[in-house]
Amino acid sequence: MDVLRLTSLLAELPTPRTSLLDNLGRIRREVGPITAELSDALADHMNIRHGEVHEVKSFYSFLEVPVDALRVCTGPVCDCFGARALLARTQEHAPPDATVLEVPCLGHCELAPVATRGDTILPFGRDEPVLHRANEGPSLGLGQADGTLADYERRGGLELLRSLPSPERILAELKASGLAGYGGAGFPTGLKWEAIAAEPEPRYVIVNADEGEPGTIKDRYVMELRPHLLLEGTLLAMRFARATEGFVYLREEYATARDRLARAIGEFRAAGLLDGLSLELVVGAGAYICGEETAMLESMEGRRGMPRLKPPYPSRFGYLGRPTLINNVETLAHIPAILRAGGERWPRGRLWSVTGAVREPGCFEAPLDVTPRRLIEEYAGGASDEIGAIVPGGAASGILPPAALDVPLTREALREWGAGPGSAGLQVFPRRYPPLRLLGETMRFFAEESCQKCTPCRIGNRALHHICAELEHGEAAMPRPQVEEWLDAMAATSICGLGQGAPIPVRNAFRLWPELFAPLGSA
Amino acid sequence: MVKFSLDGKTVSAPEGELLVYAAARHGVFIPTLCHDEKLDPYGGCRMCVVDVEGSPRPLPACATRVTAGLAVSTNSSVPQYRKTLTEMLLSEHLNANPGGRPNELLDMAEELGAAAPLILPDAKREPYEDRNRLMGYDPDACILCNRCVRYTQEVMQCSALSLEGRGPTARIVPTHGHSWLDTECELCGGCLSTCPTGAIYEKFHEGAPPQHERSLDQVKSTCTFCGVGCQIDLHVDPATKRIVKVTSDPGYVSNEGNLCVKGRFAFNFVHHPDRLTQPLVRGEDGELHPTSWDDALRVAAEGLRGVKERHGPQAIGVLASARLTMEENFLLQKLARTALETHSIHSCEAT
Amino acid sequence: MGRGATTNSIPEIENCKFMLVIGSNTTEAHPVLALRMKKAVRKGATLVVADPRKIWLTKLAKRHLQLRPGSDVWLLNAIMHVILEEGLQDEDYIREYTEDLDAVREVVARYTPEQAEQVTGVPAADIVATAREYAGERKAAIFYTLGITEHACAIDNIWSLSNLVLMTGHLGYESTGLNALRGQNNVQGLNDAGANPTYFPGYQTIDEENRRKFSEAWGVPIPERPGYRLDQMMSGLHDGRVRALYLVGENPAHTEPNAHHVEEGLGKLEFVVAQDLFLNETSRAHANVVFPASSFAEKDGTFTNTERRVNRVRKAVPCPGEAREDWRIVVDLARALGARWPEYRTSEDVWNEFADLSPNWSGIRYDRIEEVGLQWPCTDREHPGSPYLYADRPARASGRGKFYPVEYKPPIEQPDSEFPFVLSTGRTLYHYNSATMTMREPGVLDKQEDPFVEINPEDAVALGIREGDWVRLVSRRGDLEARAAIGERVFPGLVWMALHFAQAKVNWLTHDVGDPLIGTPEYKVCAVRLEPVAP
Repeated sequence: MDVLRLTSLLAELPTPRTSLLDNLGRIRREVGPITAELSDALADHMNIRHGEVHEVKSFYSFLEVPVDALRVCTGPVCDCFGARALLARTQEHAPPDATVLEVPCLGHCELAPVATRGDTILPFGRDEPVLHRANEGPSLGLGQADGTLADYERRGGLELLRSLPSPERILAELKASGLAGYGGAGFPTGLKWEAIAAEPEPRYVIVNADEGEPGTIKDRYVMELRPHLLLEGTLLAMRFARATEGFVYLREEYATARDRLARAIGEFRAAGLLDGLSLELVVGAGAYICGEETAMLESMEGRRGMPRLKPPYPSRFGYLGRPTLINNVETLAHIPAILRAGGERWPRGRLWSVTGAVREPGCFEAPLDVTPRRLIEEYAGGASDEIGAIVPGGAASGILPPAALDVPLTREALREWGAGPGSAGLQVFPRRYPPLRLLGETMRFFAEESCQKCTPCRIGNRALHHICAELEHGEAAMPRPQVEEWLDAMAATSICGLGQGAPIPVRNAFRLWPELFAPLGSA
Repeated sequence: MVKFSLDGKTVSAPEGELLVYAAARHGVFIPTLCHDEKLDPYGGCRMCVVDVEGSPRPLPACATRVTAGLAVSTNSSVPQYRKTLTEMLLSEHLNANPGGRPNELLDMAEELGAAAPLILPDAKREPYEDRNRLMGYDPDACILCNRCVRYTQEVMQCSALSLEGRGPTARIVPTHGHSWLDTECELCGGCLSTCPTGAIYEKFHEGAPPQHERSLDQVKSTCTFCGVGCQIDLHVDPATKRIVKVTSDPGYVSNEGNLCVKGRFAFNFVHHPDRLTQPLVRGEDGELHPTSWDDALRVAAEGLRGVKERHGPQAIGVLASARLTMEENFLLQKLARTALETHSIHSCEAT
Repeated sequence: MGRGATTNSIPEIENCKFMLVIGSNTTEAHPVLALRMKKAVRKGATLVVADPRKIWLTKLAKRHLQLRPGSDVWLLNAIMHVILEEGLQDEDYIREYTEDLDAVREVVARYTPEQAEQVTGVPAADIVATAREYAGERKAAIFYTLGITEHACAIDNIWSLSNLVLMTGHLGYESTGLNALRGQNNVQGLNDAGANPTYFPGYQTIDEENRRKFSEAWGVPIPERPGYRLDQMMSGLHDGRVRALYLVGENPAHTEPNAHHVEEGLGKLEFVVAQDLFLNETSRAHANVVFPASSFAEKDGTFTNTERRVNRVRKAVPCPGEAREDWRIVVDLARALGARWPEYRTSEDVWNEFADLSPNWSGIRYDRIEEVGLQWPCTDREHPGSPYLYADRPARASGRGKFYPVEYKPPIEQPDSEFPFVLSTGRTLYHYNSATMTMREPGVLDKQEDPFVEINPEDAVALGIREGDWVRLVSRRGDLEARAAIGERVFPGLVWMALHFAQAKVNWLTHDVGDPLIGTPEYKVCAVRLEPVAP
């Protein structure tokens, strides 16, 4: 450890508790992985007890590992496309002093199996450039990247921010557009904005850019290709909410997005667009659960990213206990188009991440009622293998057989299949990849990402992973009726969406692949 | 006071009271594991969830506050959840009795007839060894209710315990997994007192039989170590008539069940072999020799009387002690002012 | 103001909005009471700590007034200066309930914050801010303990605090007041019970009327001649005024300042009776008779805590061997001395005699304190006890609180070229007094076994001392060795030691010049030099 570097860095680090995560990140980048000694030194500097910094730094996956660690993704798509072999290969060939890490999902599923070395993305485990495959959709126009603020303005950018419609009009258009949160929960955006406007000031605005849902890459595409578009949406939200402080909470793994956003924020600032406002980039440190909005708030406040009990909701009791408007990246990015076109005429659509067994995986803007088959064939170059299963949204959206390829990916249509569109991360799995393994890997993911606060999520997911693993050997770890009871308890009594949603793919699989679960007996 | 409905009956409670207490006052006992009235509501174990009209999911009674018109039901699906959650906790509860302390999880399992349907393959946690001699901790008895951690953060504010990590390898340990002695811990044992499963225990009771604590006699008294006057329960082993443990109850007024290292752990002086057990009188040889009470009292009285006769009562001083009871100090000053005929009574502890 | 007790209750602390903790290392000396302060801070209270050391509470404090030892009067006068200068005093309270403010006004006018900064080392701006916060908040409480009283100017310090409290009218409400935290379990009760040369039980003055009262109650004449205070007894050892001592649970050879001198005096005594749990330095060397006594767990009775609450003590285990309950020993000795006392069958009989004779306690009876102790004053069986004092007005006969102007007097012993360091002393969490109880608890010793001296890193470097090294401390009266504990808790030029260690008694170093009125010794400031000890 470089003691001198630490001493001079510490002197620069702010001491409010809200700076803890950022301070830890800076020490990690500039001094080294957070050891017990570094943790205590920072704690003393910030006048926080040693134990509290310890439990915060240990919560995240990356604070205790070097910045140049090799991270190999073993998320479901990568697992299907040879992540374990890549991991073994990486471990074998890595220099002796290198750290090799298995991580759940790096958010680059279109490059599966993917790895990273520090901030460098290694598509397919190789040193090669990262290419985007996106379409020029009517709302987001991802087909063309904006290099600079000038590029953005040339395409009609900033128009809305400059004209700034009245709050009443904004609310009316949002409601008319039917826009619902694209992070996965699907809460109507108009209602959310209406709620925040009814709360007392000061208020905060937070952009949820902690995209971590396996198979979901859309927010990264927005941030890497059209960062200014996101910022315009964010500033519209801040103006609407009369919030002077805004934050973008970005997952650590999105290094390119981090650069693009930081540069774009700089350009906005230089152009005077942030006068009187503060817009801060908060970088996470590797924890899926921080995408849950209240966990994110805890993380930003310098504590373990463990979800709060709801109610109260963030619109009432958010960041530092103040009313807070939290929106997903893509959701905000649609808002300029909605205001430009008018809510009624806005071409309703969303971004679909299409990955797995397709020829041209990428991120595509398409109508809300698009079918998996259309996404695969018309947008993603067609299937590259015989399709065995599809996952329509994120990890908790359900696992569907090929028979579902022609179902519109709407909430209503998918409900009949016991599934949902979630974060619109369509993952296509070939027949050779056993659904039971997919289910088991999904449960393992949930178990490893569980924050440990509530019993049903903490233990239920581990048990389900174990049950799937035993089933692969034809063994029953628990009788089916009891499994159903456990699923009920998880869905009903978990604190947040992670534990509440985990039973969905299990129940879905029970229904669509009953033969896999025969050893458990009948329900 | 507001009215709300509890299992179909209209009852009242102060607005904002935690549901778990309001229900208890109306005869509905809602079990909890992660709740401690000294700590902020946490709602982690989910054992106390109840159905609340209008809420899409059941809510934890330990963290939900009474409002007018709240409609609460504790009997539909709730009992089954409770049993399932107990089964879950049991499925990684590898050691239910590291130190003879009560185990509320086992009590609940017995009451609900719940048993572990499986033992999770990753139930075994990294063992924790510590050279301190006061507090033992077995991670395999821990249910991660986080009460101990929250006690250190919210009550003691030393934060000596951490909920470390995420996922299946998460555990509760003193800071960085170091010995308690090397953290900001002040050895007050508050974490131990709030642990519902006895995972943290008095180390000197390691290996004690299950329910050992419940077999001890309890005598309520007042701590002797400072002016706060913490109310304590001395636990006496009925067989040996020795104090083997000290606890305190959250209902005790001045200290709310909290203690410090001395109050909780420094009781062994009572039974120390150095204790004086016989009166001593200094002999001609200049040494102190054991003698009878009658003899010692006679020698003392003669000695004091002699000084009084030779030099007057003013030549005798009495030093009383803050360690004595009110009654003893009262008698001592009475002794000085009557039998010794002097007001010269004071002590080394003016404050 | 009239009474030597905390004005408010422990449970009220958590509702304070402003707390000034001065000369009290509360987390170590009163750890469980400190939990209420921590709770108050969590609930949003402002905490200001005035202490020469960076004690633990400074971590929670909005502000640490790190004053030089013994400069409390300067600091407090400067705070009052600001209050009067800015008109922040409570005029109504002053008019209705106090007298002689002008005398104080005149004095503090000369104590400007700027000059205070020079003397105390506390920035003037911090003094001003503290004055404003304290005066501006109704639920503002002050807590102090030995850091205020163990000085030659103890009474000055207490008067200063009293002036501050009266000036702002911060008295007679919940969660306000002036709270002297009692150091030991029954030090409050010890005084309440009359173990004091200047008053009878229940703070009843020794005058003609009360002498008659107690004489009638006890059936013997009560002496007229005033008794000696502790410091007078200690000096009496040397000049022959005192020839015999009856020591109950006391160890003056350890606990008194200038201990070598005390030791010498004890050697001159003709007769010593000691009564204790263990042999100690005093009894081993000087006692003619030693009575084996009882621990708190071996007897019934009551302790009165710092909030004036009378709590029950209950017998849990038998006394070892032939050891006896202390109260029985006193009764036995009285009988041996020929006294005709009534028969005391239980400690309750003794209590009832005390309560019958002491009006402020007469409502407290064992049957009422079975579950929860009562706080005096409690004047009859219907009285609910008194969580806080002076709800009506100060307790002096005039009903008015008196302002006493106080001028700063520097500590008696100042550092010089020969003894360049200021030594201050105090308690630590892990031990109790002379540690006869805690030194017998191995689990506690794991945390703190050897005597230690806190030294600022700057001084340690200059002296070539490293963490854990043995260091010799020398004063004009003696010397001792302790391990260096190097850190920022003390500022350069200040060293600090705990008073508990038998093998390194700080009282070999301290001087015995005490406050002229109450005799409390100046444990808190003396001059020493430090010498590295060759390994």
